[in-house]
Amino acid sequence: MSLSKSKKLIEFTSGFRDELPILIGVIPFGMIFAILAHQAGLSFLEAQAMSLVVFAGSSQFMLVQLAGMNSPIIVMIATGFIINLRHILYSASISPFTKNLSSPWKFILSYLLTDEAYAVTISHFNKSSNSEKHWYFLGAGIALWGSWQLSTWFGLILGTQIPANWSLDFTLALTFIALLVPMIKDRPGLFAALTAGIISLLTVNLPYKLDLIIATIAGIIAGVWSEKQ
Amino acid sequence: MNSIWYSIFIVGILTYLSRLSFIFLSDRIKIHPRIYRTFRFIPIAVLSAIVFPELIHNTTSQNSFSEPRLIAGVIAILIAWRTKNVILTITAGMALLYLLQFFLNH
Repeated sequence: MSLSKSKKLIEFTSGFRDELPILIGVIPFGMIFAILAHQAGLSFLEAQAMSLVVFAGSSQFMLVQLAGMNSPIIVMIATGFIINLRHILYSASISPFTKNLSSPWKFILSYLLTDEAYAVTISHFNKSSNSEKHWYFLGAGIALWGSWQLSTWFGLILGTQIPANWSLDFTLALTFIALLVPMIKDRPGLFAALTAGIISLLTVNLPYKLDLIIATIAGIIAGVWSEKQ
Repeated sequence: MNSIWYSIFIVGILTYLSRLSFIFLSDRIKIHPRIYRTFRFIPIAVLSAIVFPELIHNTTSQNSFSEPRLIAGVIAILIAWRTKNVILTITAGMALLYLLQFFLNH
């Protein structure tokens, strides 16, 4: 095996491996999505297609809730779009590392750019100087993609056999805590986190998940401001 | 086609374009280094904005305050901070939630 080939394999497998602990939180979340979709009246095919085409957990939750309430289609589209606007920020943040890749790579990695794959990948990108590190992103992305599709499918098969009072949706909050806390390494980071968190609590009743956007922007501004002090 | 299929494909396309945006445009446009420095706050701010409400409210019933979630969440934050261990944070957090629900709700 050539040196660059083994470098690619090492990057791919370490991305895949680093994503595995996250899956403990993601798999129950995917199953709950499928159960909620079933309860909201979506067919097997519609629920699986949503996981394949949209492939973004929190917006999928919101979409099936809105579908269950018979919301107008324009509200569903606007809400899903606004919740997923944060991916523009992820795309901006990861773009310096993907700048020199070919177009097919960019199209594939963009599809795999989720909260969980992004969080694991960006911390690796910030410390690795390996020229093949986009393979790490691919490994992490595929691990998450496969588990999301399979857990949707599994949840659809199990149907309503998982009671809501198991509180399995809490695994998502815990997954995000496990990803978030190690990222906070200094005062500006802590300041950004607390500001975004507190603003999101104050704005939680705003329609169409606007709270997420407002709180995120406030957190970024707070972090930048704190860095200048 | 019903409204579900329309929303799946339109939200799917819009989400994909959001993901593609800067990754695709990065070699065509120049981003100022000062803007790059703000990027490190992006994941911190987004994840905090998602996590905080989850600790106060139950996702499936928006308006109910949940003490077990808040306590389990705060302890999970401490575990994540001390150990940086993802598996431990998630399993200990769930175990705590079940214990607290058992003792506080019964």
